[in-house]
Amino acid sequence: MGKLSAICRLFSSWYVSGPLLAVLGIVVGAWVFFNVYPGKPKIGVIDIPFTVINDDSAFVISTFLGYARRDDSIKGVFIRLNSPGGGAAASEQLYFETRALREKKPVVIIMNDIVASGGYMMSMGANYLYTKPSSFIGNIGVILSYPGPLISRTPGEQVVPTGPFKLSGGGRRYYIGLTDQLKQSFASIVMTERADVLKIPRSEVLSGRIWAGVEGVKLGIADEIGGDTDAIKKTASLAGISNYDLVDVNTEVFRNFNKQFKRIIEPLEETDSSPSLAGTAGLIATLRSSQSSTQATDDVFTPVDVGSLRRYIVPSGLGETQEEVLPEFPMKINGPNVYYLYVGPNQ
Amino acid sequence: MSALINRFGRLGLLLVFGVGAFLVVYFYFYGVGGYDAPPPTVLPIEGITAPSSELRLFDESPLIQKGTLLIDGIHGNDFTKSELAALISRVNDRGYEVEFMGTVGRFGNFSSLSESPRLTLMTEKLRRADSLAVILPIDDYTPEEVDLVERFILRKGGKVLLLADPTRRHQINSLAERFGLAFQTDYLYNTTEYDLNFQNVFISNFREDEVTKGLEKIALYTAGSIRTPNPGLAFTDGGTHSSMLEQIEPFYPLVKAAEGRVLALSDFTFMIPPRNAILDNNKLISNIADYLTSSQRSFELADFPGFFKDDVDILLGNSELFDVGGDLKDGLAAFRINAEVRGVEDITKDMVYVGLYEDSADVAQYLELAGLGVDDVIRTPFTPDIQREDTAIIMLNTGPERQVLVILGDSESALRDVVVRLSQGSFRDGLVGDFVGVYRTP
Repeated sequence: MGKLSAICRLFSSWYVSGPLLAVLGIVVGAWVFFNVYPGKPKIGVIDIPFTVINDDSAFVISTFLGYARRDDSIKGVFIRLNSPGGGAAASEQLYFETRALREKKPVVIIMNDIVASGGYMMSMGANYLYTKPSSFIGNIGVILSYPGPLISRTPGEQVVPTGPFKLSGGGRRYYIGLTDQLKQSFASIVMTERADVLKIPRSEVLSGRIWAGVEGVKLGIADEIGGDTDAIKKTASLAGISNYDLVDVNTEVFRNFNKQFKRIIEPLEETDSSPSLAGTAGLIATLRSSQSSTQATDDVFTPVDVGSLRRYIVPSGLGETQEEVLPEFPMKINGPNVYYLYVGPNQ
Repeated sequence: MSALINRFGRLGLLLVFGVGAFLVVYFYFYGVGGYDAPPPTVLPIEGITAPSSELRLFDESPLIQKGTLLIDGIHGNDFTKSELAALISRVNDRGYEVEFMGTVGRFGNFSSLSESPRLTLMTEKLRRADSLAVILPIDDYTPEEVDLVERFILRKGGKVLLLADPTRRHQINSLAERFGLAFQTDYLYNTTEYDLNFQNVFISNFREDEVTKGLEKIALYTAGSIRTPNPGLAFTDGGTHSSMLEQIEPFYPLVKAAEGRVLALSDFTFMIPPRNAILDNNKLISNIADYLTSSQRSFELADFPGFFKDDVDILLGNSELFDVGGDLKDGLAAFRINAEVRGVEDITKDMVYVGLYEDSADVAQYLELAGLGVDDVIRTPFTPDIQREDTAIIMLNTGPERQVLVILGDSESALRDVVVRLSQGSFRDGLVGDFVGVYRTP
C-alpha cells in the first residue's frame, strides 16, 4: 500500500507525469493519424497498357477509376495510358469517369505510345497531361461504319415498321450528319477542357491529325513532356502532399474482387450439382480455366477475367448471336457503329 | 512542464501533445494546402447541329434532240445503272437514246470483256453513237481503243464524258492522258465549310461555259482533282485542300479538253440521289446532259446505219426492184430502223435510194455533190473510171438535217448483193472514200 502511494506520488509530480503524458499524447496523436484519419497519403497508380476501348475494357477501367475515387487514402491519381481509342460510348464513359474522379482528387495522365481519339477523349477528364516526345497523341474525330446504302432500300412486306426510319433510324445523309454532330461534341469536350492552353483553332483540332508528343505540347494538346516520375510529382503537387506511398489500383481492385468472389463462389462449389445452379457451374468452370491458364501461385492474387465474369452476371444485350436471342426476327441486325478510334496508316 | 500542467491540467497536456503530434505528422505528409478541384465542366451542346445543305426542287424544259449516248460497260466499269439514273433520265428527256455497252453482272456492276472482242464491239457501237460516256473503267484502255475514241472525237466530232472518282477503282487515265488530262488519286476536302462531312466540298468558282451555265454552288461528295494544262471549268477556293497535295492551290474537279469535246469530272457520287438534289447539282447534271446531247458528230458511209436517227424512206428507181427494197427494209429492221418503201421523195426524211444505173437521173443532185458520174462508165474522184458491168456503188450524202444513201447497180442481183453487204457490214471493204463505196458484184 505504501509502495502504491509512493508510485502515485511519483507520477503526480510534474517531472514524471509531464513527459509521460507528452509521450502518450504523441502516440495517441500519431495513432489517430494513421488509424482513424486516412493516414499516410497515397497516390493511386492506374496502369492502362495498350487497350482498345470497348464495353468490357471501359467497365474494367471504370472500376479502377471508381475505386480510386472512393478510397479516401488516395489523394491523387496517376494514370499510365496507352490506347488508340475504340467505341464511342465506351470512350465517353471513360471521359466522364475520369472527370468525376478529377472532381474529388487530381488526376494526371501520362500518355505512352499512343493516346488517340477515344483514348485522348478519356484524357480530357484529367487535370494535367504528360506525354513522351515520341508519343502519338490526338487524332480527334469520329468514324462511322456502314452508314447505309446511297440509295435507301424499301422495306419488304415481311416486317411492318411504324415509321419511315423505324428500321434504319435514318437515311445515309442523316447518319453522316449525325457523325458530324458527334465530331462537334468531341470538339466541344476538347475545346472546353483545354480552352486555356490550346494554341490551334477548332478546325485544326478536328482535322483528325495525330501529333508527336513533342509537337502536341507546343500546340497545347498536352501540357508537358515528361516521364512517370515527373507525372507522379505533379500529382502530389496538385494534391498538396509531399510524402506519400504509391498504391497500385489495378492490383487492389483485383485483390478485392478475388476476395469477394471467393466468398461468393466457395459455398456454391459444394452444391454445384443443383439444377438451379447450372449457370453458376458454367461460371465456375470458366473462371477455373481462366485461373489455371495464368499459372499464378497466390490464390488470393490470382487475376480473373472480369469481362468474362461480367457476361455471366450482367445480361449483355443481344448475347453472342442474334439467332440465340431473337431467333424469330426475320431481319439481320447490323446497326451502324460509331468509333473514336485511331486506325493508323496501314489500313 | 510544471507551468504547462498548471495551465492545461493533465488531460489537457495529453490533448495538447496528441493534437500536436497529429499536426506534425499531418503536415509532414500533406504539406500545406490541398486539392482545389476545378469547377465542373459544362459542355456547350446547344450549338451542335449537322451542317446540312439545302435541297432544291428542279424543273426544266429541255431541247429535244435525236441521238445516242453510248455508255462504256465493257471495261469492268465500277458503277451500277441505278447510280446513273439521274443522268440517264436527263439524257432521255432530251430525246437521246442511252445505250449501255456490255453486260451487267450479278451485283449490278459491269463485266469485263477481253481485248479483242472489246475493240470490235466498241468500233461497231461508236459508229452509231453521238456521244460516249466512260465511267470508272477498271480495265485499261488499249492503245487501239484510245485511237478509236480519239478518232471519234477529233475526226467525227463526237463528245466524250470521262467520269471517275477517287473512292472507286478505275483506270480512266489510260484514256484521259491522250487528251492531256490526269485524274489524281487525291480527294478534296474542306474542314470548315462542307455539306455534312469534310469530304463533301462546295464549289462556287466557275469559268463561263455551257457546262457551268447557271451554277452558283454545287456540292461534290467524293471529288478528286484533275491535272490539266488549261484552267478547269470549276475550281476550288483556298479553304478546300487535296489529300495528296497539302499546299493550297486551285484544284479542278471539272475540266474540258480536246477543244471542248472531252468533259472530265472527278466525282461520280454527286449525281446519286438524294445528293443530286443538293444546291445546284441537278443543274450541273442537266448541263452535262445538254453537253452530251448537243454533239454534232459527223458520219461517214462506214458508219452505216448509225447516221439514220429516225424512220427511213426507201425510194425505188423502178417497180421491178421491189424485192430488193423488201430486203433492204428487213436489213434496216435488224438494226432497229423502221423503213417504208415510198413512191415519192420526202425531203424532210432520211432516205435510201435503190436503183439501177439507168435510174441515176433521179439522184443526180446527190451524185454531183459527191463528185460521182454515171454514164457509160462510173466516174469517181477516187478511182479510175469503172466499167458498169457487174458493179454497184453506194454513196452517202450527209448533213445535219437529213441523210441520203444512194445505192446504184447495173442489175437487180448487183443491188441485192450490196444490200447483203450492208446488212453484214462487208460493204466497208469496198469504200473508196469517206462517202463512196464501189463493188464488183457476182
